[in-house]
Amino acid sequence: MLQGLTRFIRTYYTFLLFLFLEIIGLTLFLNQHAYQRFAFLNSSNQLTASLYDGFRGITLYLDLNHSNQILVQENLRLHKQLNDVKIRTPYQSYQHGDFKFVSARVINNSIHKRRNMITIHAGRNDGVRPDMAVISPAGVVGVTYAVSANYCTAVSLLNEQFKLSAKIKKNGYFGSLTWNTGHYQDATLTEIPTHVNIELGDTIVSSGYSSIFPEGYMVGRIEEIILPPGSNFYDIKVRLAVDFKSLDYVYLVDNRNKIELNGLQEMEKEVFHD
Amino acid sequence: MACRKWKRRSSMIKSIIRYFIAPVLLILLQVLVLNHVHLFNRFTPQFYLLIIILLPFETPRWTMLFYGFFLGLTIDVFTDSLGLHTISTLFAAYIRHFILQVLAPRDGYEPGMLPRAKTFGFPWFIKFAFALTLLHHLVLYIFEVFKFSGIGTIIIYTIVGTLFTTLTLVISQLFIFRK
Repeated sequence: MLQGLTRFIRTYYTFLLFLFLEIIGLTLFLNQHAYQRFAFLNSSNQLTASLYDGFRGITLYLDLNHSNQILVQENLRLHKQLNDVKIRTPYQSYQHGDFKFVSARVINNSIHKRRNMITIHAGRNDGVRPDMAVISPAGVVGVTYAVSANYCTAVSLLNEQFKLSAKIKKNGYFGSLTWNTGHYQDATLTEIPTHVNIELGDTIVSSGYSSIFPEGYMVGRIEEIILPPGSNFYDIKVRLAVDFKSLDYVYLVDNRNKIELNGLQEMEKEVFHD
Repeated sequence: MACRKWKRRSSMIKSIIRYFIAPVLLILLQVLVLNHVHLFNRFTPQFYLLIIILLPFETPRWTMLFYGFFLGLTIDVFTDSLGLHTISTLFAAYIRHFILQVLAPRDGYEPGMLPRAKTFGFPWFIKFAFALTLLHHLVLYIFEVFKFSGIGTIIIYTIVGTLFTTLTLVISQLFIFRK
């Protein structure tokens, strides 16, 4: 019996080893937590990230022109906003005190996979935590996911698992926005009821109802409005504002009241659903 | 005497370059340059398979498996796709032995030979690289498009991706002039 077993193992040991390693691979693939928990298994680890960082330092010069343009445009917009704030009551801007901003550079990014991730040069030492909002001068980019000492990876908006609470700027109706997994500039906004007045070109912004994204950050513009037969809700095709192909400088936004907010939402769930 | 010592040292340097430095350079080429290539906005040449392809014939099979596992894992760490390349590259490393058996010349392989186009000719190399890449890409795309689209998509992606990757692998052989 034992002899038979030893003979079996000796005959098939390569196949058994193959099965064993393949099971490890499958476990890593299917276990979502492994990616986040072990920083050395994703591109936020010191070696990988500093390699990307060094290489980015070389290629950075190639699109310097474009990044400058974006930053100049943002400066212009901020100047205008600052002007508005000065005119309005001081209460208007106090809300921003709830958010902490960290600026950082993107060192690796992809747009052609189904689950795109972004590697960013800012980590725990800069005050980055998982679940911080990532925005670029042009608008919403993603959410930080795994964080190491000096780097982090973020779930891109171009990720089939990403869901954003977004609203129509002019009337405040909100729905949920997901990427179409096809083109890097197309997303779909759902859950907008048919009685709402919308037009092509309307601006979509972040709703601020989730605890991650501050309210009012640009997401994109309405490109096409589809009414599925028999449905009371529109499927709205949105052209994203951010050009994910040339992502360079981003801001990480930390909502300081998030823990409190999450606590409240948990309480609400317990009260109403049990 | 001195000559033999020198010979041994030079062959050691050769194998250090072949098994440690060259793979690292190939991985860097893959993650820093080739991963930014997207044919039809989708297909990236998985050129790192060359590392698996060029290992000597007499490599023990368990070594092949560990080699494939850690190579795939490294690519996964760089591309943030934990498990995907590990599964497919390990499979390629396992199946390589059987492909080589099918493609073996009548009098078998001699020890010390490397599976290169320079040694066995381009038709042989193309067959070998194509078969290995096809099986690798099949597993890769099964898991990547897993549950979202049908078998048709997987097959089309596999075929186009395989042709593209094989092309880059064959081109690489044009750069090896020395035997």
